[in-house]
Amino acid sequence: MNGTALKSICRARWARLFAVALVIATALLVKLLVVYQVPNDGLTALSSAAEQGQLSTGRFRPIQVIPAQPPMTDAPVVSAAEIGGRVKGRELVLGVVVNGKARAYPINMLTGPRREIINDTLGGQPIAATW
Amino acid sequence: MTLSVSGMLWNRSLVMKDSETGSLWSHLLGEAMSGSLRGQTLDALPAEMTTWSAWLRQHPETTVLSISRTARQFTRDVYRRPSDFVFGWLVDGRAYSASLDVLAQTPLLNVTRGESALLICYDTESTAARLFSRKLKERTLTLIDDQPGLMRDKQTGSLWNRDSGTAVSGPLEGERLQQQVGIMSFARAWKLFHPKSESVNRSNAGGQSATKSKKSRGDS
Repeated sequence: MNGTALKSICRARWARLFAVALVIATALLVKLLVVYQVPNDGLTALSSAAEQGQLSTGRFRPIQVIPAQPPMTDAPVVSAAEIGGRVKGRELVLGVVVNGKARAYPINMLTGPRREIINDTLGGQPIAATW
Repeated sequence: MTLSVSGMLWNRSLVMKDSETGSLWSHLLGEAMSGSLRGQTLDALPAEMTTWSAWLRQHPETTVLSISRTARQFTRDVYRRPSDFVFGWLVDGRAYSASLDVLAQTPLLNVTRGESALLICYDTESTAARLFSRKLKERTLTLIDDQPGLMRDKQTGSLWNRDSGTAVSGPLEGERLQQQVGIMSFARAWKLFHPKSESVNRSNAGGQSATKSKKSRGDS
């Protein structure tokens, strides 16, 4: 492979990486702050937003932009005393209370694609914290 | 069920995948869009985006996720352009939202739409927004400002904690307003997924009943 061909391959790869980075950066702009209750037995059939005519975003046509990430499970949690100054007062957290148990998920620990969904159990309930 | 990042985007929004069936879920809608679980929806729990100091103050017994830090910029300064954000919610499948700049001006917004009576309670210091039902047994309450951190209902004069929605004094002491799911979102994203979403502000929050009470003069 000659030098010119090698150069153009490298340029193309960087262009693709840049495009992917852009898409991810844009994706980070459409965050919602939601904690989902994950069913631990069968699923209840609930009404579909699409069937209710709410969905006007068009057909479901997802685009693969990065490789699929392994799930985050068994994420360590500590008490507020133990976290100490590792989380600053002005930093944003996603906070939830389930069956009387409170937990905070600091957003500054959740950037980077794999961490956008944290599978957890709180107050005996399986949940997924995601933003 | 175990959810993971599929690596896919749909309308620039996260697509989740469950390990058990490989179905793909819209993060924004909480609905499986493809796979064997297509059409199923996840139950969203009321949660809030808030500052660590406010959360810790309200929940001193809280636990906290402890993995490595990956960013520094997600502080309350994220909301320095409040008009970029909305607090959105659904009632009977219909979407509503209130712009963050509206909430900053009107931190207690009593909203009436059809049968639903809701309260958006916004904390300008922590940037947390909460959605409560104003219906308590047979009553529908109207909540107004009181001392910092507190609100009062016009119907009984009871005082309520704005963080927990619990009545701390008065005839309704000990009662609790039911918290419902509301979501802080970029305004553009909310509009993209809920194009028919109605914008709620101070002048239209009361809905039909506000107009009626002006005409009838009988309503309190």
